[in-house]
Amino acid sequence: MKSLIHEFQLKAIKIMSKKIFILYILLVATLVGQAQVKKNFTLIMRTTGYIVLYNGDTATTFGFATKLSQNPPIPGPLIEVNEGDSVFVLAKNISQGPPHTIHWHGLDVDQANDGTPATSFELKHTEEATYKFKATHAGTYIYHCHMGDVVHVQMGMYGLVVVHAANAAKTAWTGGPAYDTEYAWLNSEIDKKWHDSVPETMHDSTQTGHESFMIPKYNPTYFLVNGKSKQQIKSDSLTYIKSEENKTVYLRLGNIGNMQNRIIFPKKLNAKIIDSDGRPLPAAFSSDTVWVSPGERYGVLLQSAAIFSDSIAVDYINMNTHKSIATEWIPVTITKTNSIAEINIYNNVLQIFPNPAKDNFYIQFSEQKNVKYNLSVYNSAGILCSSTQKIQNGNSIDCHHLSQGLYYINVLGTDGSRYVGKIMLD
Amino acid sequence: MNKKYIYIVLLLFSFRIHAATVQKQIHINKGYFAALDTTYFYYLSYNSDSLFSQQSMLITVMQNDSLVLEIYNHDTVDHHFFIAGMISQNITSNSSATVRLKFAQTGINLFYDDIQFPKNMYLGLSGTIAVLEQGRDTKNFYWNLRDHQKQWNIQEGNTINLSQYDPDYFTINGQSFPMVQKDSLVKIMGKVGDTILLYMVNSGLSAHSIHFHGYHSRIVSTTSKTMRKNWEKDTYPLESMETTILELTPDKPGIFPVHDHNLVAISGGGRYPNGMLIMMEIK
Repeated sequence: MKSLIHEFQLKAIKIMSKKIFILYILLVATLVGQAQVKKNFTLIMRTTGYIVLYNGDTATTFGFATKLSQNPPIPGPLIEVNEGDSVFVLAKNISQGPPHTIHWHGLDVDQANDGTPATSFELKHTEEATYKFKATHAGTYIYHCHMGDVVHVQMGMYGLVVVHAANAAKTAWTGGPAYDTEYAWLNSEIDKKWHDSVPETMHDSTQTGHESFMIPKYNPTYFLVNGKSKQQIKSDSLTYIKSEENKTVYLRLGNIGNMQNRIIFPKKLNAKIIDSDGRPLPAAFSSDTVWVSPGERYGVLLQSAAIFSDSIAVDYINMNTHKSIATEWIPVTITKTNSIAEINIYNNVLQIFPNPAKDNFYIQFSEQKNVKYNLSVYNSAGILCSSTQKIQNGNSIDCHHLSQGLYYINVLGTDGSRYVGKIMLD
Repeated sequence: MNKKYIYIVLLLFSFRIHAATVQKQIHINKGYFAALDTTYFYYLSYNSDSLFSQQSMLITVMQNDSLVLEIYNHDTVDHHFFIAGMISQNITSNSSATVRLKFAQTGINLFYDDIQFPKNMYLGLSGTIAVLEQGRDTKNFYWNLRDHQKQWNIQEGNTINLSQYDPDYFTINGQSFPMVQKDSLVKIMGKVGDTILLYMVNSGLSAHSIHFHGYHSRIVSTTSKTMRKNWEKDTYPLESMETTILELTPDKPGIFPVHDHNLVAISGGGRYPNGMLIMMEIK
């Protein structure tokens, strides 16, 4: 009898051990699953950049680059993380100028990492340090230098931080509304006079950066969306919104300028404002107009059942006179689901857009070559309908005289290159 | 006998809870605004006595309180005491008037002179009446935002051309950074877990976009875009004439700036830093 009990006890221990082992494995797996994801970035602070403006003019800039050889882009490199990530940004000041910082606008980081010169750390020329914070809320945020910020921001030291939903889900926030594609616009202005007359102290590495200084009157003449304006926008795939019927676009809006932005959407896009400053709104609402004041961010869902091409207006409103002083037009094209994609051939060498097109379309090569192209448009019966000689990168092709339908495009370069594709004309 | 006294005290106390009559004086004074760069310009002000001060006037009452205001006009022209939807009282030059108000709702009220609107308000005739909730333990701060274009104020009687407005001085309660930090009604101070209420009015002509480092706050109320009630934000645009109340519950200690993110407004007379900026301290 005793041995029988003993046998039962042994079996029980074995079963228990198995269960404990399974529980242990599950526990480890859970902990591993919940382990913090670390995301690392490097931003190099520079004061020797330049921006080419829409009219060919250039302005000197400050900015953030990822490589020393890179002209700092405006806006700065996009920082993309997921909710819950631990973010580490190695900042290096290689600017020959006074100190710089990075303020994580809206991310509610602690004082030590806030980037305010007087209360956080600052980086002198040749110094480097790492900003650390946790991305606690999905949303759209801004980073910018906070040293002499009125000048350093105007000079271009800013960029976007996009915190996606946990696990990179394609939802506006964790458990929030789903989307198919997303775009992020950071709006700003340039007053070239400021760029041409940067105080000498801004290029002097012996300066503390805490000295007060004089600023000129602010009268911007260039109005930027993602660092571009006018025709530059039409060839910027990060800004030009392209989607398909009934697909949802999540548009992130941020304003780092000194003007208010009034963004007016075509009614067919059924704009719905769902979040602001990295927090879901208590109640989303539909509106074809969104006001974005300096420092604010908004999330907007766009969806259309119609197939069309139109533009979104971005007005720049003077905060003192309350008048619009400029408007940038951002193209938007909604195509049929699974319709012909824009011509993207030979490893994205050539883009032709919008597709479908109405009155005109654009031809864009990814590489700048000193090559001219002859473009021929054939209908589906193979009859030549249009021919344009000696076109160059970014040229607009007039097609308003062609009737609706499917056309074939043949592009022949003076270097012997040849590209073919299709386009739908509305 | 002792119980009777206790009941009487409780009875009197309960009257205080439900309503009280608060008596205040307002003096309309003429003087000169002193900016930090030693610029002076013509200014009007509502003050608590007949001595001119560029600091804007704040009156606090509790919900359901009655407010009796004796308003003295020391200027040589008539002025108004105006609260939208509540009162419009003329005070003739060198005389006084009595105004009786009752505040049933908590919130913030902007009072100003609507004569030649917005000129007299722009020249400094604005103030705030904050109506506080009975028995609520909060730390309260009060900001009256203003902007000034020196050339308009340089002497009495200048005309104001709104279509060319380009202000060069930006103030909170009549002061700018760093002097404004000495105003305990402006400099936000508290500790982790406090309920901090910031009552803001914009009696300037420009729109402002106030950004908090370190924290998001809840919009308790706002008069311009009422749908924003209960939004949690870090940046709060205030149109001219807008009032708003923010509720902040700090979750960490630190010293953080709060400033206009139209960064030009962090200057005064072209000098940076100045203008609409404070350093908030949370322990």
